[in-house]
Amino acid sequence: MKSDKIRLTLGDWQWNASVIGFINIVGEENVCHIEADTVEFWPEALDGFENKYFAYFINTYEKTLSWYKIVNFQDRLNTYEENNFEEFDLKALEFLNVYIKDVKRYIKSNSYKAAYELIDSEVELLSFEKQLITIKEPKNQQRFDVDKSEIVNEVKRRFLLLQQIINYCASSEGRRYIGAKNAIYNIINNAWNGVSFLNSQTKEKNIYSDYKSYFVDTATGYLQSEKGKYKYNCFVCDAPIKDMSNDLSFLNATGFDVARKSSHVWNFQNDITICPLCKLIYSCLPAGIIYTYNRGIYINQTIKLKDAVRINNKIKSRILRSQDGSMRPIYHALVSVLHEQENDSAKYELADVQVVRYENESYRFNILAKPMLQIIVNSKKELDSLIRVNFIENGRNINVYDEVIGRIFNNQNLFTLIHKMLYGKLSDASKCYFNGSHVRNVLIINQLICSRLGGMKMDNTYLVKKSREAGESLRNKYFNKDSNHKLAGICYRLLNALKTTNENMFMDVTLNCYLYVNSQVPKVITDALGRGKDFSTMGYAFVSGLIDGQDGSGNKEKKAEGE
Amino acid sequence: MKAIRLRLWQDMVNYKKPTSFQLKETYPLPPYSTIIGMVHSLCGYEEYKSMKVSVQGKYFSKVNDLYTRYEFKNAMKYELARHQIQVGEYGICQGVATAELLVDVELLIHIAPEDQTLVDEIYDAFIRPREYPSLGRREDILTIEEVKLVTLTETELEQQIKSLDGYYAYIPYEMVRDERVNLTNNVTGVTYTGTRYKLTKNYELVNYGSKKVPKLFRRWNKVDVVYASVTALAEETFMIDEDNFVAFMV
Repeated sequence: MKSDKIRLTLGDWQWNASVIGFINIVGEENVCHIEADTVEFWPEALDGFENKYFAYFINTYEKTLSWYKIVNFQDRLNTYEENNFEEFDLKALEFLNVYIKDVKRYIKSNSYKAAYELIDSEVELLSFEKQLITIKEPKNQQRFDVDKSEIVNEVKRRFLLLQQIINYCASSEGRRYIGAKNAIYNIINNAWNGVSFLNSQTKEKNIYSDYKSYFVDTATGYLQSEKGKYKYNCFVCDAPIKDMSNDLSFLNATGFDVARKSSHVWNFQNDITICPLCKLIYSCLPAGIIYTYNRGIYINQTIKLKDAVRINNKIKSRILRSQDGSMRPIYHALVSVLHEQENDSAKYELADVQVVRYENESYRFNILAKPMLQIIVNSKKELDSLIRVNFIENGRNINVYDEVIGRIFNNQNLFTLIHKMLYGKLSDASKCYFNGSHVRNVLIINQLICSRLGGMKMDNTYLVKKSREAGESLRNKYFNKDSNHKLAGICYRLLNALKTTNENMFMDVTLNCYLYVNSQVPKVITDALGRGKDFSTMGYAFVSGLIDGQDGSGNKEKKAEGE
Repeated sequence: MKAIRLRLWQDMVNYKKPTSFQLKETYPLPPYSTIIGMVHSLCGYEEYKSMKVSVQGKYFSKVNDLYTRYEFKNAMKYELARHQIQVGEYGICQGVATAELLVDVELLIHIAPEDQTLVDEIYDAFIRPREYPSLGRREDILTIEEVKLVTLTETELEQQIKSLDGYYAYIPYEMVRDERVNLTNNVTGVTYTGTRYKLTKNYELVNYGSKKVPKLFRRWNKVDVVYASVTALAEETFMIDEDNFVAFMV
């Protein structure tokens, strides 16, 4: 092998993510950064690359793999056996049954079957699958206690079977092949498809040698070849290439069928072809993007490769540490990592960070506009308070944090969300897991958004604070007159007025209220008249003050902590 | 050097990146080749006229939008299972795909043809366009807010010039590397900020096939630029027009 060093320089996001994936796979110690945006490595780093490739995915995503779910039961199994099933109760039995069902489903799936052929073992895992059946669950704990000894005997028999299955999977070969199969269908196929081991017609059964022959060997062969007579050029690295056989169509949502859909390119002549080495790098794309449950995220920091590696690894560890696969951790990790950057003496020009999200099998880009980023950064405190805030609308659980962030990304204001929250609080407070301070925080963030979108001058917290105080004091006056039952009706009318931004209707109701309690209309209300967004903000803050604590202040804390 | 300065506005526009076929990704500002192409089309030039271009501008936000996608191969016969549309005996695939669109784009563009006699011709082409001008896709119509003939002079700045309110620019990479400009959001500890792009400028046609079966490719001349918001530093030399706008000519 010619031992010229190979260079990789940053380019567009997909390439960058692939380069970072490559660095993750070979390890940062095996590449050297020579310029801010360039790394070099010796061709020897490609020795045994196929092993490093799968090892990376198995190690990184271990806990999300179905393989891990099977193997992880070992501890439980040991505990039960050690204390002789004393703590084994109906719940444990139910859990065991769920586990057995999962194991049965996994070990007879096609990808597992394909892995068995590669594992050198006498054990026939599929024969266990038939023997492994769930245990009949008694109706309740009392019945369970009556039949416990019988049930435990059954369980012991299952454990014998399970132990063999776990041993089989947990063996180094089991981990190597089953883990790799899991990684292929959970992680790798998010980024590319249709070639090598992801080609449904592949002849090579061993995924390791398939990857090696398709990607690694062609790349090393290409590196050694004499390129003097090659007339084409690689689209990515400009290196000379022999023919046009390698295109980008294996990358998901990127290329096109070169043979049949040539209208995509100029003059029907596809000139976007890559060299085998670039193809190998592109195959590392799934190692660069961070995936959780069919969703992915990548921060495209293009200036310093080292930073790009660091930022993405930080997000990766943060996301993979959280067990919850919902949207929240992704956003939250993203936002908090961005915060950290800001706090890291604001090293990066935030506006130029391109965020690539992978969702529903397609990519989405967000160059977070600087004003919007600033809102996120400036309202960190308010946003953090909203992370666990939920309410239920039409049986659907809505997370306020996700809603707020989503709207900030889309340059939308939050008035409709605030309206929904207040309306929900009024009509069925038991389905709203938030209190007045959360509404206030949303209002403050909304003020920030509105001022970014133009036309807002007043200090945002001041207006919200004053209006809320006005609402609260009016509410107290109603309480003093023992007329608090009237408040709900008033709030409905005020909300309707706000939704239609009908100032006259709003003033009709408020004037009526202040007449009733025989006091002066606060200045903050009249000041906001005729000032569009300020009026809405004042109105919603006022209503939130009116509503707040309606269900008894003792409940407040408990509600806020709800699921 | 004489140049044409344009102030342009567009509402929803896509400047496609060359490798994004499925989701049509956009550059943040039009690349040089797009602008050069527009000039050639408006002036009716049949062959390449060498010119230098500077691109600056900003956009408000970005959205993803659906579009109807047509895919076909030249002279491919219609097949019922494959194609949705039949045109005579030929077939076309129809489907939906996503395009990234920039919203409310403002542009400040300088164009300086190498052959300076063409300046008036190009100026006229923008004053009286022979058809509706578009930049980006064919449907991305352009509002021309100002066309002005300016003279660009190489000037050593006495005072630094900040970029126009919120404007970003494509800055030649050497200029950033040699620290002749200050990236506005630059912070100590980071050599340079912004996003690097390799932008296409012009091309020559190269035949990779034979004479009988030609296989024509465009061999692109690409330029290395940084997309960022900048301040042109004092005591450095820049191309300046008479209204004190810096032009980063490439």
